[in-house]
Amino acid sequence: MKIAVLSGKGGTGKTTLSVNLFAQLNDVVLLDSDVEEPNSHIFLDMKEIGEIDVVKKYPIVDDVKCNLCGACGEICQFNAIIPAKSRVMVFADLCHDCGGCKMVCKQNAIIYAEKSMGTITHYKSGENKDFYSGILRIGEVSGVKIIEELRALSYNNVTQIVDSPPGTSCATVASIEEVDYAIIVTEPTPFGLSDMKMVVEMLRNMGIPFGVVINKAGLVFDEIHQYLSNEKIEILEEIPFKKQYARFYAQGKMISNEDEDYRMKIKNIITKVLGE
Amino acid sequence: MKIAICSNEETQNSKVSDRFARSEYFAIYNDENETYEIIENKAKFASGGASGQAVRILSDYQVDVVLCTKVGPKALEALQGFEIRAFDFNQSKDVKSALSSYLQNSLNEITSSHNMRYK
Repeated sequence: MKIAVLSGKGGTGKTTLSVNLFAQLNDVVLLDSDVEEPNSHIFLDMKEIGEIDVVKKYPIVDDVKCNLCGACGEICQFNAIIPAKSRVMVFADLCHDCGGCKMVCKQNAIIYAEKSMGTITHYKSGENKDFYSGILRIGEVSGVKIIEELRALSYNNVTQIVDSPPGTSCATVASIEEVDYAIIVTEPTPFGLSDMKMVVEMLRNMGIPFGVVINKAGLVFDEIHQYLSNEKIEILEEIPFKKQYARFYAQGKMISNEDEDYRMKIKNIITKVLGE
Repeated sequence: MKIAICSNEETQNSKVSDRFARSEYFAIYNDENETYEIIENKAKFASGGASGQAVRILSDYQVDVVLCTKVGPKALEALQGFEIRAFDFNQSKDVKSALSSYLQNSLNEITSSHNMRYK
């Protein structure tokens, strides 16, 4: 079963929940798909066993064949290829590797070159825990390619947890495609609620079943319960706001290994979602 | 010859814009009939790659020279590709004074890009 952990708003506790679920499960794979700023690895003491280079293609234009018709510039939605006065300019780091420019080039003047756009690091502990962390190179515009490669790592008969990026952008959509279930981590703040609403809309559009974990529960803002009850959305668990949890987090410790109440809540989420 | 000036408002009396590709408007001065045409800079809405798009817009309006302040590396490459020269309007506060400084040959041409994003 593949489970995405996402939130809308950043900083609600996606990574904290992801790594704690990972810590309390066996036969499990964790994918850190927040490739713009991956941080699951900070909480995991695992052996690094390899690195995969992720490449993207970008166009190179043959100035001899090119007749400056402008079709490539018309189709590119990202201003990555721009026909100028006497040659076509390519801005490789803006390219999303969609293949459109080559497709529309009647002169056959476009070939693709490859460049490294990021890496995926594989970590392992014991026989039954694998962790993959993707990271996007600085200057690259989109992490979708790396997320797709993370998604393509196939594991049968294990639980896969996807630590997703915040927001509802292309990268988030890429990270939750093909998941069986999504856990929304929210917090009782106006931003937590507002951004969660966008995630709910996205998940409903994509037909992905989901439940909500309210993290930092007990803060003053309470419209979150009203919203969830109106929308008939299941609350999987409420994890109270505690300074001790923040302390463990700041020390890079696994909260579920340090605190019995917290561990019980994580186990309860696992039971509800996985039936284990 | 046409000279574009990066401007904040849709008037030739506007203050200059210190942004190039995401400037609100371009005031385009035509020295043949000494008139301005003010166009909205549609490139300011681009999520990425605004500089290439902005330069393409200027080229579509047959602009020869643009008066702006700092430009980034992609903007500089695009300006060269479209054969548009850029001059630093320096201390000029508004469109008209930037233009008159240019016409008096007192502005420096921009030949290197401003890059503070990352190393």
